[in-house]
Amino acid sequence: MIDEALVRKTAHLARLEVSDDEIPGLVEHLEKILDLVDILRSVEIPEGHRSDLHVSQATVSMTREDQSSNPTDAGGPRDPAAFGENAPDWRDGSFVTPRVVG
Amino acid sequence: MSNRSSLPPMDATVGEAQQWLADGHCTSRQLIDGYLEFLQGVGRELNAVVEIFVESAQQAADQSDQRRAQGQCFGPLDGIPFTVKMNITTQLGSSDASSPMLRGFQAKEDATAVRRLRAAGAVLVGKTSCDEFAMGASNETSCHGVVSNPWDRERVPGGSSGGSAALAGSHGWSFHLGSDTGGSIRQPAAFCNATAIKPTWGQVSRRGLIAFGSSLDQICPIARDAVDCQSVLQVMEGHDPLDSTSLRQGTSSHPPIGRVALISDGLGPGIDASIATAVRSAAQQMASQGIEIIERSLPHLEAANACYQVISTAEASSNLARYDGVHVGVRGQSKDLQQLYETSRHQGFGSEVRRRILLGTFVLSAGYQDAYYNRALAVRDLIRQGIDQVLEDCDALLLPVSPFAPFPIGERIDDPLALYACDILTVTANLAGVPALALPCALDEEQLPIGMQLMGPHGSDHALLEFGQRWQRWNDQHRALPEGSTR
Repeated sequence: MIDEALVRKTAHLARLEVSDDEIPGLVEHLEKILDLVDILRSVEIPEGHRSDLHVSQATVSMTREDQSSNPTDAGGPRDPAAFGENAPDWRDGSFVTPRVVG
Repeated sequence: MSNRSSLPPMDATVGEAQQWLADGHCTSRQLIDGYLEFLQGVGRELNAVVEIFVESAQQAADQSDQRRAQGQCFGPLDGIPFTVKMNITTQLGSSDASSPMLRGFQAKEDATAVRRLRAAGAVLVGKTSCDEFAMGASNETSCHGVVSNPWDRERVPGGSSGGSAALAGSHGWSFHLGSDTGGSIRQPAAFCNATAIKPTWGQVSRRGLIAFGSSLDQICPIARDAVDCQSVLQVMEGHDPLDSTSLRQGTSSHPPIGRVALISDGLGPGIDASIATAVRSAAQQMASQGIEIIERSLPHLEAANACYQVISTAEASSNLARYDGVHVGVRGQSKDLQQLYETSRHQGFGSEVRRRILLGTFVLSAGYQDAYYNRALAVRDLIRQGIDQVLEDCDALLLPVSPFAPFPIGERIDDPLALYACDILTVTANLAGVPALALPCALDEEQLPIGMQLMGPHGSDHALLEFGQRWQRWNDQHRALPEGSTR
């Protein structure tokens, strides 16, 4: 079921470049792991089962007050000028990308 | 240079080191200097520590000493050294998740857990290596190199929190923050003879934990004993407005553990005989102390690893989509935006991370989502219900942590499935969101550590830790340090 075309298509969806020499290894790996997860098919799922429970049954949908915070608070607003400090290319207050229009 | 004779014994726990400080045998500054010396020596030799913060740690220790002199000690962690895994953010140093993608990444803030610990006086002394983005069970996928197991330096320390465990397993006085998505704190704890707890999902804020599988991830303490893990958990836990999934209600009260189910499926084929024997004999030791032991089977244990592979990679593929070569991290060369994403992600991610993103993307893709991802979600519900069922007539489940002993470096790294097999007994707790405590249990015939784990119901973290403390009064395996490491 897994072939080169499927690996290339999935890699594209994942925005991952794959080189030609990686393909055979990835095909083999995906085949093996899908064999391993095949056991999921043998588990009997009760009719009408809906997986809408959260991992923790104690967790309920949470809301919070819409309050502003200060820059000195943990998680408070940041100086926009600092946004780019970890960016590979940041100029004049913007993240730089290759040209996408015109 | 500190006066060594005034320092606590090397195997002293955090609690004992704190008593040592309170009794005035040494200052926090001396303790920190002594620990920094260990990090620079053995910590570097094991390749467990990536960054060491000498000056800031010394300053924090001096401040702790001043507080103590004024009778204003903050409590059990004041003046005590701790390290943080590379996938948890700290203002000091970098937080690169041991990935080339984030090399040099400077976080703007401490993770909430780190912030609370520092506010309690704990002294951040360094950052530890881990598998890249916490994906691994041997600490061999770290961009900082392979970490050695202190019990046998030719063997892996386990992973992904391998650096944290290697330190916890070779020296006392300190605690370490790691994380656990499918066993990443418990398996290395078992491999290095340390004690660690994977808390209930939501017990500890994930703010500042670089995400892998969000419905599974938890920040976890690892240390020398259950007392220390509890002291750390007490400071870290509780609702955090910066993580809306952190639990709001206080710790629910659970009765002391009196009835334990030994999980027979965890002792059968595929599990090293020496490990099964050690866990059975631990159960006998518990029974001799008045704990009622029953034997139970855990439904769907064999499907749990498959379920985990699908759900964790699906979540990883989504969480790691943010690394695009634009906002943070490595950037590939390209004149086209699409290709920029692809080349950046090719350069920035190691092969194991790319394999997992690929699988996660596949199980979520049109045409396959029902067969894999949705099916795995349904099985996850059954796994959780299975645990609940067993817990109806007992207080905790007992099973080994790892199916096999620490293995030689390089033995499994070329066979991803052989590495995934490390997780078969640990993933259940993450899938169900329940707490699981890893405790040293025995040494095998090759003098390698064996660990066992106890899983309890949601919110029973402290009941588990209190049981761990009782266990460690009956059995002193947790005190053992690797031969040749004592001063």
